[in-house]
Amino acid sequence: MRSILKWIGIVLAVLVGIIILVATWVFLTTESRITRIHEVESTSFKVPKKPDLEGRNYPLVVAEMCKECHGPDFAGQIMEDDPLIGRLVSSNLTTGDGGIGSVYNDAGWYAAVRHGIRPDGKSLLAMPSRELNILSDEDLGIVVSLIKNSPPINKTLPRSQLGLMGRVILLQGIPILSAEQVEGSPTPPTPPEPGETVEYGQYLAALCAICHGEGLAGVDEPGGGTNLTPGGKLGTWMEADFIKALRMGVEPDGKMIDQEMMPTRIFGKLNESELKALWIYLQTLPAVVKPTATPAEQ
Amino acid sequence: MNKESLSDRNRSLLTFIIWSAVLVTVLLLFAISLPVRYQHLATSVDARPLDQLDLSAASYATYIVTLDVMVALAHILIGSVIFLRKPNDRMAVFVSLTLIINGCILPLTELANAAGVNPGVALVDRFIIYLGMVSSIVLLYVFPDGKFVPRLTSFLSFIWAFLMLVGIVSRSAGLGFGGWSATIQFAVVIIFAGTGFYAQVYRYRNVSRPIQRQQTKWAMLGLAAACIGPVLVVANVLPGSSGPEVPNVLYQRVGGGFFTTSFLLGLLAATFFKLSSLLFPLSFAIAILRYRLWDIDILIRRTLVYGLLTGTLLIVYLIGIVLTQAILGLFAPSSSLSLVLSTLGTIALFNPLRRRIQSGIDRRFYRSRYDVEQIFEAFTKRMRDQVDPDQITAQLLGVLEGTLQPDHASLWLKPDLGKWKVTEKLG
Repeated sequence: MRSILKWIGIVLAVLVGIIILVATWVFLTTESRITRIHEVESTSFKVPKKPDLEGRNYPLVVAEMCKECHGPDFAGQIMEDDPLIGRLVSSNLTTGDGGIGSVYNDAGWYAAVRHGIRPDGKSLLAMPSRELNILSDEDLGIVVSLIKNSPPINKTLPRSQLGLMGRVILLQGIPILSAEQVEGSPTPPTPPEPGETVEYGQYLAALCAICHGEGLAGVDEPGGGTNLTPGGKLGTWMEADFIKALRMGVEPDGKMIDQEMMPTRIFGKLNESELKALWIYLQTLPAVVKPTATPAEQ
Repeated sequence: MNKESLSDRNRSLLTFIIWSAVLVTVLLLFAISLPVRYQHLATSVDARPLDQLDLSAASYATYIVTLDVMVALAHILIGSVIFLRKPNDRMAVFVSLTLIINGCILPLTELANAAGVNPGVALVDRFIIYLGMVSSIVLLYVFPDGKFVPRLTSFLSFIWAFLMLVGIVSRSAGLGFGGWSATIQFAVVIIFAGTGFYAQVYRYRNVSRPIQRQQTKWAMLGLAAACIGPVLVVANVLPGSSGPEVPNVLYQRVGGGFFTTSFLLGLLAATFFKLSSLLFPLSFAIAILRYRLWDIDILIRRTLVYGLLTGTLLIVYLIGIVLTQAILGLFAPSSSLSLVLSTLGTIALFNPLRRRIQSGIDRRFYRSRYDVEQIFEAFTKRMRDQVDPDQITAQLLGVLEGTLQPDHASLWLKPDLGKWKVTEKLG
């Protein structure tokens, strides 16, 4: 008994020692990145008092997409809470108690959405700022105005944080520090005028890259988006099929689109002109043919 | 055959019938509950991490159900061994039934909550769950001699049994235990488990004989093993059951690796909890069957020493890193050097600190052992200068009397060419 316990003790002690060593190294290495203070460019960005869509539905769609993480009332929620991985919390965006709606000024919203930076200069976690960085000041103003004009909800949530394993994954290159992601991206082009043009379609398609990947050629991961280039199944579609698919959530062959994976209930709110611009842009993408279908295409 | 032995035989037969009936009922319900649990697991799991791991929802459900079966079978097997070894010991029978029911309680609860279950089966299922819930707390009040100690615990048992009855029978009515919020329910369970723990401590300090104390130590070890999983989850140290599915847009933005790791860790934690819960029936079996009863002292002592040693070294290590970083940061910011220095310092501290902690724990918790070691050390030193055989004999017996406190002792010495003879007697 004594010798068994002794050996169990030795093995446990060595394991604990190794874990502590590795954990400390991981913590020290990642802490500097997580607590790094980022500079934000000065801006003349102003949030309008009332949202004026002026015939554009895209800002409305962006605001609806915010609800995917921030909840149907923008009041935020704990999306992942694992002591080892970390806690991912989407903030309460409303002007109620515990919400950032009454705390953030216009520059604060600008820094958070465009650059993934909190008011204290540190990076937000898992905010899709790299994709939202392309938004024009006008559209961003409408999106923020839509959020600020939503009913105030009193809800105080804990802050997001990375656990030890989350930090290990961060070291492996996971794109979770939003500010770093924006810094590493090319400067977005000047937003084009709305219209049924390739440029405007490209502007609208920026959000699609989150799920459909760079180049919109689809993602070979579970839940990843389908190949939107002419080399994928959209190559056989017509413009009307595309518009119908986004409006009705049904593909030309009658297959229902999984709303959990592809929320056409949101993208179907784009107006006719915006959907046409999107389609025109997708037709200009270089055709990527994949030897095996992505999970979304199976 | 006299009346008394006939009555004993009848009682034994009745006990056997009741025990067998409960065992068969639990086994049947367990068999019915497995497909329900399997279905629930297979349909409620997030498919994305499973896809990433090239696993199916079916294989995930099979894995968890296999763990459930392992845990249940271990409880049933150990419970059966206890009963078969001591069928006439009331406490052993009670422990056996408690283990058998509680080993299957998770799938049985799933069955009770499932829709479309035959009402008769559901009723029996709830009754068995009720027995399991009540017996698990009462066991702490009466273990190991079957008496309620302190006597107030008999009253607490009644309240607990009543709460469970209201909760389980009228759950759908929204009354009582089942209708309370999760926080209140958790608090009630903690309070009653706490009184059970207190009852064991009280019994240990005031009532128990040496063997019963050893039994209590084993029982507490089993309880700690059963509680460690839920406590670590509540304290947010380890992941619990997986939460709601994350939105796909977040899943894709952050990347599947993050959530797949989270899923895997949850699976590992679940495996750890299930396996650690096996210590519960094992330790109760040791306590009831009185097998290697005294080994618990070595286990506790080692756990105390190495637990404290690990904690102290960890604190020293972390303080070392902070201090060395602060000092080295003045010259050149290098996290690696502070890491190396702190590690070396901690390694150097290991043995001296272990000796000190061991001596401190012996002094505080194992006083007699500590005193004996001190006396023998002093005796050895004195013997170095002693040459008179009579003095040596007298001092040796003195030390024996002072440490082992024997009723009597004799010292036999063999002269050069003679027979053994008693040179000194004590007592």
